[in-house]
Amino acid sequence: MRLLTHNMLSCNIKGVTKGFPLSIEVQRLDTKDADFNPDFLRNIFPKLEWKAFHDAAVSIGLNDIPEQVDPTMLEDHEFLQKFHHALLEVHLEEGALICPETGRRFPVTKGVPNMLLHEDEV
Amino acid sequence: MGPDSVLETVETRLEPLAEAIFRMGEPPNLAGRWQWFPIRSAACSRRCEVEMLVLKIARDKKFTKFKKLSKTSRNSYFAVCHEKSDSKGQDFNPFAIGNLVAKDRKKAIDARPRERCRILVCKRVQVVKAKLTERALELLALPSDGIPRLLLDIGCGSGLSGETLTENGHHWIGMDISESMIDIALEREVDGDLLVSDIGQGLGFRPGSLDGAISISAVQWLCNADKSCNDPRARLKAFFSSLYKCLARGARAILQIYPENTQQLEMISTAAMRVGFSGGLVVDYPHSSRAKKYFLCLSCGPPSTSTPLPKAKGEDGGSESEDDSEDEENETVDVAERQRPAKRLKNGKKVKGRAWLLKKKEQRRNKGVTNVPRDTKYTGRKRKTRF
Repeated sequence: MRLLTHNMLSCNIKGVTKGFPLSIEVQRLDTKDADFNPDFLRNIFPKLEWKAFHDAAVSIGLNDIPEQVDPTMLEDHEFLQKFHHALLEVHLEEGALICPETGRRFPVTKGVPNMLLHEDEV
Repeated sequence: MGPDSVLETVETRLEPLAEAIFRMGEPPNLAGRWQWFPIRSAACSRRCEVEMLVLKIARDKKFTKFKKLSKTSRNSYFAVCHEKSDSKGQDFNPFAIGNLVAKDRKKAIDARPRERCRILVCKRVQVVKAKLTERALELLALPSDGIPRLLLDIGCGSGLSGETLTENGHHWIGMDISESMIDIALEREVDGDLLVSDIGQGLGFRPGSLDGAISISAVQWLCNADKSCNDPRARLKAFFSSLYKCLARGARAILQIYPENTQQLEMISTAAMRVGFSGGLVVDYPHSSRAKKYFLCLSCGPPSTSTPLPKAKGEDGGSESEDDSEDEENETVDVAERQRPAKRLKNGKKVKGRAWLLKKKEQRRNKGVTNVPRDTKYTGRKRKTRF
């Protein structure tokens, strides 16, 4: 599961208002190469929640993502490389995603988070 | 090529996949219970091959009872039972729940398998799915500026449709309720991220996060009430309202469905419209019962006049124009049917003229009929319409 997906996921349990962002518990990470496309990065940048992305990157051990970003930094090639690596190339293989409000754990196995809710949570 | 060799080639392809699926059905506590596998294939002959192979493998795994439950055009349902039959000594038919006593009914309902393993083994199915995905992408009408978009693949299954999305250069997130199908997708090493989640519980995404959504033959499963506590309408509502929330402004969702009947189709369409989507139904090849494909094209936000509903494909080059009434208050989906060709009228009024009448009378006189009226100026005269 990439950080790109993590940035879009939120907890769906009934009655939960602050289900985003999910905190990450890491057990195993993996890195896979991905095509570098600066246009895509520039396009997706406004959609991302930067603070959540930064926190997630820190929790999986990537410390080179700055906390504050402004759009001019998108022209900087070096920054784009780091952004690309953190967003698309690092995969969470084993671990869990935890809802900030209820504490419910969504386990992640083989890179696939299991977001199935129990019947009483729908 | 005789049937044996065909089966052999099918077998080499199917073997590992079918093994994996049967492995899932084997735990000892399922002895005496029925499990069923829907086999889906566009071509009947292929389905027969697959069924024979399923039978063969089932026998190897010591499944003793087999039942073919349905023979509809696209699916055949296969049921297998391990070892001995249930304690009553009779064949346990998972669909004849009503025959059992109340306490056994609950057991029977709980025993029905949750996992649905779709055996997508035939090459033709892969080709069909790829074509459907291409068509869905076409209908999605993403701006062709070469920038990859983030799409959602609803009911991605074994990742066939996702691969087509990757080929077109997009990033995608796939979701499916079946862990077994996701495992198969992982084996194919697809490029998109996968999630195990039930779309009837709502999509767990941040509002406005997705650029588009497609779904290939998945949404109609929402209409099935799998567990007795599920209500299809509530599930459809949860799905569509969360989809509406997750899509970015102006984004579209293209859902290809196989509705069982018109009620299902209506149920799905009205649920979508009620939530606030605009759009309509596009039916490709509407006159062929086999090739007919339904695409529900929904878009977020107000209907824009610059992007009309795309034209559907039809045989003989004829395209069908869709009529979708985008009334803000009462969103309904209308499918305009092509007018039937006008019936060829019967040969109007065959007026038998005076000449014919005189000839007939002459003939009768020649025959010898005595009381033929004489010919006057009134013979064969045009009468008033009262006659």
